[in-house]
Amino acid sequence: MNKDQILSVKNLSKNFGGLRAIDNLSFSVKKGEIFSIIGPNGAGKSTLFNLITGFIAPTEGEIIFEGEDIAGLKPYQVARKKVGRTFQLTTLFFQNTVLENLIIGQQVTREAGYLQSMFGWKKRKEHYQQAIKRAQELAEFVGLSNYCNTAAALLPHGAQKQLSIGMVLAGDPDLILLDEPVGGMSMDEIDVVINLIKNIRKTNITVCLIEHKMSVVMNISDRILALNYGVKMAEDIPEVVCRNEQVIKSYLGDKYVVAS
Amino acid sequence: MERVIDTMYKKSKYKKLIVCSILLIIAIVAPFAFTSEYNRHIMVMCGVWIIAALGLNLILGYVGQLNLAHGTFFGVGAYATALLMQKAGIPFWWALPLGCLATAALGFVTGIPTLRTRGHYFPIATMCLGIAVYYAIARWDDFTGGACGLYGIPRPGSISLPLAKTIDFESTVACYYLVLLIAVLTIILMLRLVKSLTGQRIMAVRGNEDLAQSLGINTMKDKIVCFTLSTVFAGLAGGIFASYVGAIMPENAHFLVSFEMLLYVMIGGVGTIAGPVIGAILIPVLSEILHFMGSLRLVIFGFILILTIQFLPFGIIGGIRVALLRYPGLTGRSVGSE
Repeated sequence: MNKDQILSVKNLSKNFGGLRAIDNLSFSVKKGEIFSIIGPNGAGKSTLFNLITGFIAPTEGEIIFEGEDIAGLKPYQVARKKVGRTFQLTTLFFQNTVLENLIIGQQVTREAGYLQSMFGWKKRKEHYQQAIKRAQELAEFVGLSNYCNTAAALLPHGAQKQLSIGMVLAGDPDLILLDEPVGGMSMDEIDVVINLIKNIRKTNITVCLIEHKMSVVMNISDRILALNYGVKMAEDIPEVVCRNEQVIKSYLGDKYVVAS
Repeated sequence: MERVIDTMYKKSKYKKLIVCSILLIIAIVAPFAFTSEYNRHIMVMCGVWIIAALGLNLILGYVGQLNLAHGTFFGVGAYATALLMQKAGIPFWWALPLGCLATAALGFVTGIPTLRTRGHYFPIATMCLGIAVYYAIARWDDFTGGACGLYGIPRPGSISLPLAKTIDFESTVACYYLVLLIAVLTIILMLRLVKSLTGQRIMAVRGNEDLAQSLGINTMKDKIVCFTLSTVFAGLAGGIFASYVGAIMPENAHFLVSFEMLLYVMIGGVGTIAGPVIGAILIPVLSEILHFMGSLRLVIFGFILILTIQFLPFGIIGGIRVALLRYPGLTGRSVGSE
């Protein structure tokens, strides 16, 4: 396996009964890049994320992360290998405050035992304060330091998406999978999240994202994977993918393909 | 920023500490205010229910799993402790932890398959468990005494203190202070567990299990540990109950006991520490006051429960919290600090 690849998927397939949601798919993500996955509705993008993060088990194929096959692991085991993810429908602990959400996100690196929590004294306090401090740093990083004590349910939609990204970052991941990070946002909010993603890349975290907004995808991606009905159409830099005949056909229809 | 949170936290902590100390002093002097045996007996029972209700609250309020076998675990703890004392001749101070251990073992073994279920299936599975254990106890005449139950279970043995003083537990007051001590320890342990990183984690399991898993939380492990831990407290309360009352019957392990505990937790405030404590004092006392009505009082409890669920979904404590948020002047705390 190539050393600069962080994730490589080989001959991955998933059947839901008679439906082949992912069909013999192979691709790889390089360390430190922003990798986008595009495709029309039902192309299998979210299914692919669920396969990588262990929420569903693949029918066949390999998912190699940092030289290790993670296919078939449970979601929490994948997360502990430092693969973070967000969900398409923004999921947060809505009753908890922003800070609490960011503390819970640190469980991967800061798992506290029951005995320490019930009987511990100095270490228990130390751990808690470290967690609070880290949560405050994260709140600042994702631009929510003014909302620290607001319940997540009361945040505006854009801020909720920012928080969900912050929670993933709390686990110190090496690779994060963002499912539609700017879905349903206003233009101003989109700019904030784009900047955030660019800042995340600067901290040496590889970003893999699903997005429908082409302006965003073409603007920030290093490389793009285009899917249709679970089959790979293209995997290349944005300039090449957006001129790919199959991609144009599946998005716009036959008559928009310009004969070359 | 940090300082604002800190001072806010300290201020509210300070106030809470004062309130708790006052309540503790009231609890300590209470037996001198209520001198009749009957009143003191009710106070001991309230302490027993507090321990059990806090156990139920851990799995129901913080992990979000409705366990309908909690009363059964209470009964199992009571029978285990009583049998160890009567048949094996083990003194109370050893029989009680062993009884808790036996309860925990049953909780652990039954928790592994039942906690795999989601939604309504966990309450159904635990209720089935409760009924099965009830009939096992009621029919196993040679071992558990069958429908007649067990009689003549000795009180806790006396303990000698270093200052040449011995405490025996023949009087109700002595039992009251023993139960009070264990209940206070239970409250402290629960508070520490809930207000820690582990507490945040188990509340994450309640909030959204999928999201918790995606953040690296082994939700199954936390559910099993908390379930086992909650059964320990049920067994603890059961063991104390058996030794204090001196007689136990299969009805003490009936699944209706679970519903009584559920009532305490729901009316007091599910998912809080103060809630189950308040519920476990209020409801038994109310039940005694309304004793002249006979079974009609159960109808009244039904109405109270319906009204609580309709208007105070988080019980009395939840209602107080909402009131404090709506009128922040009452505490001097700003909105959004909760």
